[in-house]
Amino acid sequence: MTSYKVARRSFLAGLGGSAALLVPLLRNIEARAAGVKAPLRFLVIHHPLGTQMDKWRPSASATTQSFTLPVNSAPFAPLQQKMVMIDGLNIVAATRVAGGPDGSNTHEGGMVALMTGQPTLGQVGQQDHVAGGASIDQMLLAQSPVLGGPTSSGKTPFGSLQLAADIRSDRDEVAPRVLSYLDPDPKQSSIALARHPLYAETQPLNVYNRIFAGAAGTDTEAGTRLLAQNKSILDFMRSDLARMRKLVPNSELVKLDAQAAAIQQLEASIQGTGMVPSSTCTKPAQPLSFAQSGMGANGDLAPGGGSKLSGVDYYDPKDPNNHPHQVLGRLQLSMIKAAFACDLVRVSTFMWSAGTNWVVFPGSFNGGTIGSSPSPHHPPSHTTDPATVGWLSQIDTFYSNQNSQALQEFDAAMDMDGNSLLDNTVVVYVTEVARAYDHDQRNMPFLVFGGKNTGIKGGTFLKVTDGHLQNIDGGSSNRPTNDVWLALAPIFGVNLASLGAAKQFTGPLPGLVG
Amino acid sequence: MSVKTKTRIGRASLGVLVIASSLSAACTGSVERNTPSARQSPGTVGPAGGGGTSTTSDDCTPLDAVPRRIWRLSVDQFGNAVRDLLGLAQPPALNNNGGTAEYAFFSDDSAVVDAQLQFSIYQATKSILTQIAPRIPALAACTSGEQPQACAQRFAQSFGEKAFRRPLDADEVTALMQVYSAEGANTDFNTGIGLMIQATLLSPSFLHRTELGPTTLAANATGTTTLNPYEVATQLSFLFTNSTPDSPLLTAAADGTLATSDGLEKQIDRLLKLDAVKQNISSITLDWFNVRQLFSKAKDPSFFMGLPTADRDPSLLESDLLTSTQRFIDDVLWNGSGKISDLVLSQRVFVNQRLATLYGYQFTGQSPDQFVSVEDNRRAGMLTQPAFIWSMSDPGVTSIVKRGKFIHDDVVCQDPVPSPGNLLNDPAIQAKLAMLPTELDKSHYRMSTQPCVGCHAQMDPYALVLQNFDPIGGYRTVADGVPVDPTGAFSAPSPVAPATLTGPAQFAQALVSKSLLSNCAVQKISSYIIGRMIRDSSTCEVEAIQKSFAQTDGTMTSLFRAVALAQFTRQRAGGTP
Repeated sequence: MTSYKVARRSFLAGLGGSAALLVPLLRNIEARAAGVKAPLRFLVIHHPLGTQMDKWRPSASATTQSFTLPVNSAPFAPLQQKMVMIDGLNIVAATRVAGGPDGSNTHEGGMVALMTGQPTLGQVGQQDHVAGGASIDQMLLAQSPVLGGPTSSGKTPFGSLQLAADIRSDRDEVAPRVLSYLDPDPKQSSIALARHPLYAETQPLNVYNRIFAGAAGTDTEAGTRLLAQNKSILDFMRSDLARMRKLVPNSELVKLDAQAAAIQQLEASIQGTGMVPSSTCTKPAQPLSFAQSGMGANGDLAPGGGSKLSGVDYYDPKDPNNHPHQVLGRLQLSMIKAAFACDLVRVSTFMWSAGTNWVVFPGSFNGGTIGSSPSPHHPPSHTTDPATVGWLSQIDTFYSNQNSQALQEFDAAMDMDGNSLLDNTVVVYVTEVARAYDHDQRNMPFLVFGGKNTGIKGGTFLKVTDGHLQNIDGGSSNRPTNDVWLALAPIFGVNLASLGAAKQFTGPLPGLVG
Repeated sequence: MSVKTKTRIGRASLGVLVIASSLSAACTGSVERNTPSARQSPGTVGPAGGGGTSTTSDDCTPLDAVPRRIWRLSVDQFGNAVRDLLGLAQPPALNNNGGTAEYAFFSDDSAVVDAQLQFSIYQATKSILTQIAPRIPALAACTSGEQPQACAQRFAQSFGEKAFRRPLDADEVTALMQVYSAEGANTDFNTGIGLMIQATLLSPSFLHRTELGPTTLAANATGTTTLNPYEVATQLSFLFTNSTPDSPLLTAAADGTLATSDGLEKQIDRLLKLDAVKQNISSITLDWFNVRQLFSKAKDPSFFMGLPTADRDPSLLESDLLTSTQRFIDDVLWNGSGKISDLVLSQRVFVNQRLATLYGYQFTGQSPDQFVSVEDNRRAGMLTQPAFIWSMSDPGVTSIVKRGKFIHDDVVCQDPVPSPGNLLNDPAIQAKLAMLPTELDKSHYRMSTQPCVGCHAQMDPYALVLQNFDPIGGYRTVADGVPVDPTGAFSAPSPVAPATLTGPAQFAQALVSKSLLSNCAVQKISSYIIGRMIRDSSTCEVEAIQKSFAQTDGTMTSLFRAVALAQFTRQRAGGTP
């Protein structure tokens, strides 16, 4: 009996040129016929410094499916049917330190409150608010039966990915440049040592090498030998780890736990386990390396003058047509797309840059002009000067454009069940302040994307009216941002009864998930 | 409320962003002290060393106990250790900082090996194996007639001990030999040795220093203990060379001499004679003054218009400035008196042709790239080295806050002032500062206005005495159209007070005559060796060293010796199980 694959090949050959048109359909039919179910994914994308409210929100006073996105959010129009724009969410910060600063209305505190939804452990240094709990992506990864984490029946090789385009921040503080956290170490008395940030990778090439490059296959003698050699090395590393675990105090085990997880991922990287190329899983092209610079790392608020971390600016003094920040960011998002498609991870966060960032843009940018000289993004943002606001607005629109294009690529990519990747992915687009000039955190710009298998009620402008928090437009009708996480968690099989301190949540936000 | 203020950038300050100095009303200049935890008797002499026998002040604060811990190597330490273990010409570079700041004074002991760093190390070890492949036989050093298996076993034992900085037990050697002869790996002798090297360099025991005390101690033992001899060897080697212990140190650990006062002193005195140690001490001094951050500081290109076009590349200038400062430090520490005081009293600056042109010196070198010394009586050592000033300034203006705070915290070692907290976001303060056109105007405002004055009256004067130096470290007599008056008025609780000092030379004299610089140096190097920044200037253990150091020749060598001998550096505390 002729195998299905042979028959398939003959069928397509007989169709000649028409075959190319029918192959995607055929794959779709095959996938559905085979009953292949694609896993759900979760992605948080952060853009810095909020937006200009009058250019972000449609002029609608109630929830509606009929709305036009204004200029800053208009780039997302092609995705509108798979998108919910929410208006009426406030970041609510809290701290365990009685009377202590909770980070309200700061970039630093905003990031922590938004992503963890939990009270901070306190503050170190000038404004580094210490996360008091795991971030939402790590919470879901840990608890969800479907996101490939420890409680999932099918675990992904790499757990989760934390990527960024730029991580320079004032004083190199951790809070503004980290999205993802694990739970803090309760045995550490120092809060700075207790927190457990997952620092983002900023070089796409490093991501590629670690996640996609893999080892030689087992179809050659050399490949088989290499796999055996690698295995022996990994075994030795694990035996050394086991020995150390018996010797160190409990307070130090978290360091060995970290390396244990790292060894597991190293195994996935060098043994090439997990990535099975297919029609929907393609190894991305090897990206170039990006030269890092500190050109924008200057100013008053950093240790002795600037971030000590390097970064990649939008503005290239040597070439006005070269925008490495943009290219790098898009490459990172493409890495995430490929990692999702190949089921190497199902959870990821991506940060364009920190709220207190040093990414340099041209002084004149897409019609907005701040001056004749290029400028880092964050430092001039504390003003309502029209020219500066216009410049900031163009940058916000730029980020909308880039993210929309990236997510359209998600939507165009076929997933293993024949649907689009976006049909199986929940993407949340966030920022850490609503308004840059005064750090107001009411009516936070908030977009949730997700196609048909996610349950997201796309095509909706969701106006929150049943809350009790202050609305930037007057009155008290807003809800805490945690209510979004509470609404999304059940999509992934996680039921969170609460999140954070009592003031930080109300309940799952209605109208977001069908 | 809206803030209608035009923000100026470029040469002018960034306006509203110069709020970093604004301080809360709680800042009265009072000293914040570390909360004393488990009290340790200062100045006691332990079995492994001297030092600390002098008395301390009655109101000193005992140092918080350093817990028993494992301490991940920094990327520099990783590279240096691999270089020295394998005899490489250069340390291998990692493409990952492991989550730590690039120019940190010392590596953070909370740092972990995360997935990205682990992979980066793996890639580096692959590259290293390719590099050392021709030398594997020499590294293995089999004896004449020795069978490969026996040689490999001996290598596993010896290389493992050097890499893990302690002897390997039998099980560990067996495990390492399983890498050598892994089933299916089909390795020849050279490949097997290479794989053992790779496995060792990837393992937790190589990547983490242990500070757990005697090997017989239970994992969760409570109470205080002392580093075991191998851990002392490791501590000394990373202090003096920023690398793995050499053979004499490991031998001293093995034969017990490192556990004696004489043995400890002998090793320290041996190390202090090594060129590599001198280089490392110079590097630590450079990092004490945070000079390397100059690589992250852009400057207004108008400063370089006096240079030929080809010389205006900031990266060239930054590299020159680093070399200039390295030469200065080496000149003071190794070619001159060696005294810490000369770090601020020496009026030399080292320049090549490019820097000489930039700073207006006559160049006497025989080639453009040669660095020669210039005596400039307007300068005061590290305080006015161009690289230091460059790193403490903004692109177009000096920064009184940054310079002042750094000197306050890290050159005088005054207890840090409280954070301004949310005051930074006060629109009224932002608006006010934005209206003040110059750095000096802002400083005067801060020093005369509540709630800023309490802290800025302490910090700003340290920078005012350096006002003759522009953002790139060049000398100026006029700033923002006004003649420079580099006078700082110092009031209590500044240890310089009461004093009105004009210019860096007078200030440097005050730092030296009051032993402020040397005392701060003790505090900084004490912080360095334990990997915890000591911010309380009345820490008992540090005071004890300061008093004994005051009886020495005042050299950096003597300082490192005194710190290395201090018993508290080897004490660790168990915690709650």
